[in-house]
Amino acid sequence: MNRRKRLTLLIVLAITVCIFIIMGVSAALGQNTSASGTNFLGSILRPVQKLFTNVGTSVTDFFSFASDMGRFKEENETLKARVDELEQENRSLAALQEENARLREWLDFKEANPSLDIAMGEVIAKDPGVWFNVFTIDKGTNDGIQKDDVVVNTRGLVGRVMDVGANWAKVLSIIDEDSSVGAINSRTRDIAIVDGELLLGEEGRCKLNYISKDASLVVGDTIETSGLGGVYPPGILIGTVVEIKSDPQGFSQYAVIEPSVDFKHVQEVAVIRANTTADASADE
Amino acid sequence: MRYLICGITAVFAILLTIIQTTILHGIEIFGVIPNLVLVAVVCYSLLNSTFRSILFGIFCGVLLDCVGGRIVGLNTLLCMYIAYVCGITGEKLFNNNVFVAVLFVVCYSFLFELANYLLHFALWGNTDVLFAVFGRIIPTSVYNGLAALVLYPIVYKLSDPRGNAAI
Repeated sequence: MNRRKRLTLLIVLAITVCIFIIMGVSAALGQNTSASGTNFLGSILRPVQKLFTNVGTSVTDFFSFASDMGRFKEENETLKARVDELEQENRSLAALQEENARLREWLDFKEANPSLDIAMGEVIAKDPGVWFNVFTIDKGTNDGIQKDDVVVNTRGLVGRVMDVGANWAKVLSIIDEDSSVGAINSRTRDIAIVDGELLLGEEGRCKLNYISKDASLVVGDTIETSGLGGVYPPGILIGTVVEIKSDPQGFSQYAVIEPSVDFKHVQEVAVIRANTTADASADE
Repeated sequence: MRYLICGITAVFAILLTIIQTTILHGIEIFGVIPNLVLVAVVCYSLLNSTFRSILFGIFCGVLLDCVGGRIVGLNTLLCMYIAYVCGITGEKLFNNNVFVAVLFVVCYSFLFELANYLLHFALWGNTDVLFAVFGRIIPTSVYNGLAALVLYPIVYKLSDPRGNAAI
């Protein structure tokens, strides 16, 4: 035992001495020796360290991924729900934007015609057959609407009320065969009549009839209501002339009118209540 | 049970009228829409006794008159006549075949729309006969025939087989 104790003590002393020598030598030569030694060791160790570090990172990553899996799933679902929510919100905002634009048009219209007493209505049904351009709106006598009240939208003249109930009214549009509107050329002030016609109504157009012989009419002229006839107040835009034709007999000419209202897509209309149009100029 | 079926048939006709005046306008082809109510009248008349057919025809005609039309009562009359004539001819010629029903629908639709054109337009001096026939009457009749393929099975379910009817 003593022998072993002595050997141990000897080793400790020897190493201490060795280290003291190394310390002394390195102190004497500056740090280069130690640095180069470290450098040498480092060069060998670094790739191994790197490998171990990488493996360690991968292992850590794998375990943290596995442990995060549940959280990701939950987060993914939350995000998907959020995307749906935002898409929904986006759609409703787009719809609101469109509605806003429409309402702004109506506001402009109301501001431009402050004297008109109007009731806003929405188209709820169209004619069940294929022959008539008639539609039903959701306002009736309850809202002060009467037969022959004039119906417009922001673009121009739509037609007139041909039949009315408590909460509905049937509107005869100006492209219907039965419709006839006193009209005037905005440029030349020549008067004529805008009639609906079966064939032209198909294309959403109507006809300008009874054009006087000396009237100057050119394509592009704007046609508005004349106020003659007592139903329609003057100055409501009807449409523009797109074609001028002679009737088959060649006695008179007529023009095809492209109404400013798109009759395929009429949604909201305003009914001008009769009391504001009572002072229209003359009787039919 | 009989009253229940009558009620369902009436609701069915009302539903067709509503569809015809609203969403159907969104699927116009060549500017025309099928006349579902008329299709139902023809199909019903082929499958039921003449008396029931006439009642159904009148009911549908009144519905059409309520939602549209120019001369009040004209649709009622036309639907009633069609139900009557169709009931009689159907008794002799109809054999529960859907394609025969389609043929009947096309023929009666042609007559119905022709009557509409004659009474509302031609009588008052309209001369667009070619457009009326090729642009309105024939497309509507064909469209009605297609609609009959869908409506016939439904009307069949609502019908009393011929001969078993109490009235």
